[in-house]
Amino acid sequence: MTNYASAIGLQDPPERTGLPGAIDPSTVGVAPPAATLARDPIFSIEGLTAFYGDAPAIRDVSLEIYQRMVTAIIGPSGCGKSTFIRCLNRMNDVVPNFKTEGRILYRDVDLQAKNIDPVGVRRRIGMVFQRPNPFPKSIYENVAYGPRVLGLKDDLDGTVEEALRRAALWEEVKDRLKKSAWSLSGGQQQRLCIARCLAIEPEVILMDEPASALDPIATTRIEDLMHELKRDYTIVVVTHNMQQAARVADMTAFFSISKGEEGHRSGVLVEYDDTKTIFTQPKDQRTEDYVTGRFG
Amino acid sequence: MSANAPTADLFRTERMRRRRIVNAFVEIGATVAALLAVGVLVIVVGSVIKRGWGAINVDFFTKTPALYSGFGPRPESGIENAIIGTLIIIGLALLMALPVAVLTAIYLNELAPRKLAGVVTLAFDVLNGIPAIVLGIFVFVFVVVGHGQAAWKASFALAILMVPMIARSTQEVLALVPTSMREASLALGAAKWRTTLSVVLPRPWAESSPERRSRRLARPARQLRSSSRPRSTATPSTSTRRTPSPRSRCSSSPPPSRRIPSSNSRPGVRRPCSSG
Repeated sequence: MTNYASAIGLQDPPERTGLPGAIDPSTVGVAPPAATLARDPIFSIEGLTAFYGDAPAIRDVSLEIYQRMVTAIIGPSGCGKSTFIRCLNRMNDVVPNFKTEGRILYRDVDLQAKNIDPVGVRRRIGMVFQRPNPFPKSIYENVAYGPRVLGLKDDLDGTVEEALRRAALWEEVKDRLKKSAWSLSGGQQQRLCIARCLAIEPEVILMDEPASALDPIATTRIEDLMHELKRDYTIVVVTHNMQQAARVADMTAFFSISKGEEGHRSGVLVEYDDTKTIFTQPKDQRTEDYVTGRFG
Repeated sequence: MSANAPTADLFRTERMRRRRIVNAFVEIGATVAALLAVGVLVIVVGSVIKRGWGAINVDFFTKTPALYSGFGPRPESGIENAIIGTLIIIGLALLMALPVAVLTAIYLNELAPRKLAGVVTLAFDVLNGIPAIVLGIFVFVFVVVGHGQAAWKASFALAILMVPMIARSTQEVLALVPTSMREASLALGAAKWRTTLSVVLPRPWAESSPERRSRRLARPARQLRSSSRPRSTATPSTSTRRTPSPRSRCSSSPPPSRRIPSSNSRPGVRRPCSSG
């Protein structure tokens, strides 16, 4: 078992263990076991099957996402990670021929119900995308966009500053808020997108491979930020980087591709557990193969 | 080509010489053709300027054409009426065509079902192919004959001509707005109309302002989309757009930043990530 852990970098390198403040090597670098945190489900997904046209992209996914935790979704390309996460805030509505079966309960409300306003859903459940996608406006306007759209115009300056501070970007941009957001580096742009998302005070932040377009330093910053943010927000992060999942996530869900009865290849949830369990004592052979690098 | 020496194909051969000759021939042909085309233009414009320069004066712009009986000195004459008439007709035509065309483009690009959009787009392309004179006669027969002349009637004919042209070029520009921009706005809880109004629509204009264009050079190369864009038909609404040059790569070293203190539950052990 320890082989897996060291293979994916869960364990601390030996030279670090002597550092002041170092704790039990087996837990260093890993988020605390989720068992120590209160498990308070915010999402209950029941038998979710999502179709693009006739082909199911994900099949019969059931899991619970807990409040104020980081939940990572890992798995090979094409296993429906992004489809899954985009179901959680109805982002797939804009895709033609997309439909779902099953239920996505958010605080016991079915998000797929007919009387649900997707705009309201997205206001509560924010999203950060794979590639930084700031608007071609100033830094300030990017953050102010959400509050403006929602009519929260009181103390807009304060809201913008607070959001930028939370996204750990304020110090870098406070003197050039009027500059174009496109003048920022990729990592800064991504943090700006996170700030933009925070400005509307969502409860959940969905991140679709937020660091895959960034260099390691910028990635580190985003990961630090996720740790910081989970005090106040529930974070669901899709990643194809297993080390990242191991570093940031409390809970990890492993998706894989399997062939359905009709021959469609679609994504299924293989295993969902504490991050540590997934990476050190996976119950499913496919998970073990994936996290040890034998597959994918 | 002998396969003995690995460097054999580096040397000049008869075949290569023939290729060079063909190449030179084509290059010269293309250059001559281009010169011919430009040459005709130069002759036409040059001749107009040479002969007409003397007639340009203040009166030319401020007087209407005088009747010339053919006897005696030519009276002072100008094209004032043509200038003002053009302004009125184009102005009115724009007022009629622009809102319709831009809204149609938004509908086709943002709202319409794909099949319907395809049909309407095809219809617009067909309309674009109708000669102006046909539309002119059409409007003349139905609106002018028996009802008298009016500037707005001319504008109407012009507007019919303009709508498909403006709609098509606006549509093309809107199609260039990346989906990620729409998604970003939707994910912030903006309704669709709001997204269209404040993100999709302003973007082509933002793209074309020179200030933005220079800033865009500092954009990370990963945002580089296709650098070739369809040339816009020169319409008043979109003629300011230019084809951007391929964006340059920006330096990737991020500036120093404030590190967030790690929470106690997670000692700050960080490793650069490698992709899994």
